Amino acid sequence: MRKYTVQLSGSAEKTYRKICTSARECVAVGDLSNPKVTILKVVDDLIDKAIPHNPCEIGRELSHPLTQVFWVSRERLHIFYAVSPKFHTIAILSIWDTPKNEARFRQADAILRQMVLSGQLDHLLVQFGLRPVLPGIRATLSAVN
Amino acid sequence: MPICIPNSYINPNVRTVGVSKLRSLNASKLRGIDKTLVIQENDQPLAVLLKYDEFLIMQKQLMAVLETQAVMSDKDEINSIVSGLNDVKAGKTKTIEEVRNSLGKAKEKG
Repeated sequence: MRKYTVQLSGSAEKTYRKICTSARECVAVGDLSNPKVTILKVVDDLIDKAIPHNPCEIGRELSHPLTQVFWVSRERLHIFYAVSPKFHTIAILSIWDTPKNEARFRQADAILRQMVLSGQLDHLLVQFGLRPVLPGIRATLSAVN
Repeated sequence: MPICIPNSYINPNVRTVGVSKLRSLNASKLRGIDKTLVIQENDQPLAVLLKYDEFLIMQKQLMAVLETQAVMSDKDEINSIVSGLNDVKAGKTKTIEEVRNSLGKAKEKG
């Protein structure tokens, strides 16, 4: 399969340059095991190997309201990209090194509340042929600080 | 006490069967099953049997929702993505090779 050409948006380029510079500073002083060097390796690996082959594979697309945006991740590092209008080209939109504290993934109550209030849960329920959240539940949740 | 939802309400391809159905299943029958089976005993749902491909799709959808939620809860990140989309629309992008070359970091073609 032919590899896609990879391009970087302005914000992705800025982040990539920052990651490269940080890694290079560590390499210059012989600190090859520094996490900053590892992050660069992971980013390069995702950009060179994971994204260009079958970038629009099922399961890589974000859900509503960010459909058309795809992602790959490894550990804390997430890369978001979209199909470019240019032929056979992928545009990296953002490179995101998430905070170490990923406790929010476990904060089910907070996530569910936000999903209900934003309408994201309704969208998902409709996809599964289910009724949307009752207005009373939404009103109760929005009243809770 | 589990919430009782009629299976067909969720998906018309769901069928409720008794535990004894499990005994009659083997690999070839499992490959041929085209419905999701809710296995129950005494009207009590105990387990769900569904095709592995469908299970993977559900897992991926869940991951997509969690990932989207994580992004949307971070204002800086959502701004970065929107800014990136605007760059793509405006044609303000550079190839990864251009960026690497400008960094003096010629990558070996893999």
